[in-house]
Amino acid sequence: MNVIWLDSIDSTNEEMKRRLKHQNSLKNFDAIVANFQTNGKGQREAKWESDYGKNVTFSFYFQPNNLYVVDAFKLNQAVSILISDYLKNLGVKGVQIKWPNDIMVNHKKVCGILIENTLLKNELLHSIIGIGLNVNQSTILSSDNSTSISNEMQEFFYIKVVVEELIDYLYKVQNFIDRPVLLNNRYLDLLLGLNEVRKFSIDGKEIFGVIIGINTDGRLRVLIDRKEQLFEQKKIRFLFE
Amino acid sequence: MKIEEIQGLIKFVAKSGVNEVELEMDNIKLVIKTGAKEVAPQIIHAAAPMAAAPIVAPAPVATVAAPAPIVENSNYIEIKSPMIGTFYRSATPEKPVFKNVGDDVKPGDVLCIIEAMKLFNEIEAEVSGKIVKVLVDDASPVEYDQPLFLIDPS
Repeated sequence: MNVIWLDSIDSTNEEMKRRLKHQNSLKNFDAIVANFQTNGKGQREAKWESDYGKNVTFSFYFQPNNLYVVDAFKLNQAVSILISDYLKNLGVKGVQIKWPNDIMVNHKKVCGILIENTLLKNELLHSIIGIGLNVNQSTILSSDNSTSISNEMQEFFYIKVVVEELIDYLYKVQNFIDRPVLLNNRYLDLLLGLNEVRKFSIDGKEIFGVIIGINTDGRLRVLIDRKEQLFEQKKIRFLFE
Repeated sequence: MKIEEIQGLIKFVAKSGVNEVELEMDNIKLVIKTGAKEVAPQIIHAAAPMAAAPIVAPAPVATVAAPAPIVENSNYIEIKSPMIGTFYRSATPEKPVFKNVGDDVKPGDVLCIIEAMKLFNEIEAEVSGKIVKVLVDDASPVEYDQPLFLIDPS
């Protein structure tokens, strides 16, 4: 388990992929950390922006044991629970998971996760788990609905310590994946909006609904007009007041 | 109106067989004309006073003509989608596609990405051969077991 510290890199996920391809030298649970990402990745087109040295940006290499495509969502669940647990342990209040895998504090995004898997047939060979956690960022980020740990706690944190402690939490990812009942219960406990009437955007329309859980494949179960509907990630969006 | 919605509309009109559809809503007027074989989207901005975000005319998406029939060859191997999700031919929109028709592939080569639930899954080739056909358009939804590529293993 090596932690490789880099000063500046386009994206830690990309760097990890390059090292896998050209050196094949990564071991399970290795991590690449950067003080600054010049081309940090959010979800596909989305960019993740961060001031130099103020936040935690790293990628974590994980080789799952017997994790199949049908269960891939467990990876999202396990990683988002572990990050939430770490934040709660730091003393952060109001930590929740916005389905499928954004970590929120008091309804504002504090951490984004970008997981890139390599599949062979129906099994996950390995995963690159990219994590962007706002730590000491005090200025407003490009996305206005975001916050940082420091904003919430009125305290300054040492980035190096946060990274090392967070990686300690992430070592438990396989244990969590192997315990599906615990995984589901913990995920639902942390799920933003569970059993609450909330406003969503569905097909461009504003609709009220109640999240009642998730399906085994990770789809969101929402009660709308007393009928249960299943949503894939791109089909439904939270509308925050 | 989102680009996806416009693209969806164009596809819908193309499939419906009508020649022309005009749609007016808010500050957007959209005219979709289907020629014999191509769709020419025309977007007309009605007086939008402030600097509205420029609406990029989507590249013609749907061609009405059915894809050329694939020369059936039982020796070809189909690479199928292992999951429901969105099919991408490149790592990011600005990067080149992983594989084109005619490219050689070998086991371990990345063929495409399927995104599902914010998980990005690279699909690796299991066989050696040559790409004969790409069966799905970039960035379109795919179903479980849907064929994505045809590979000639010889």
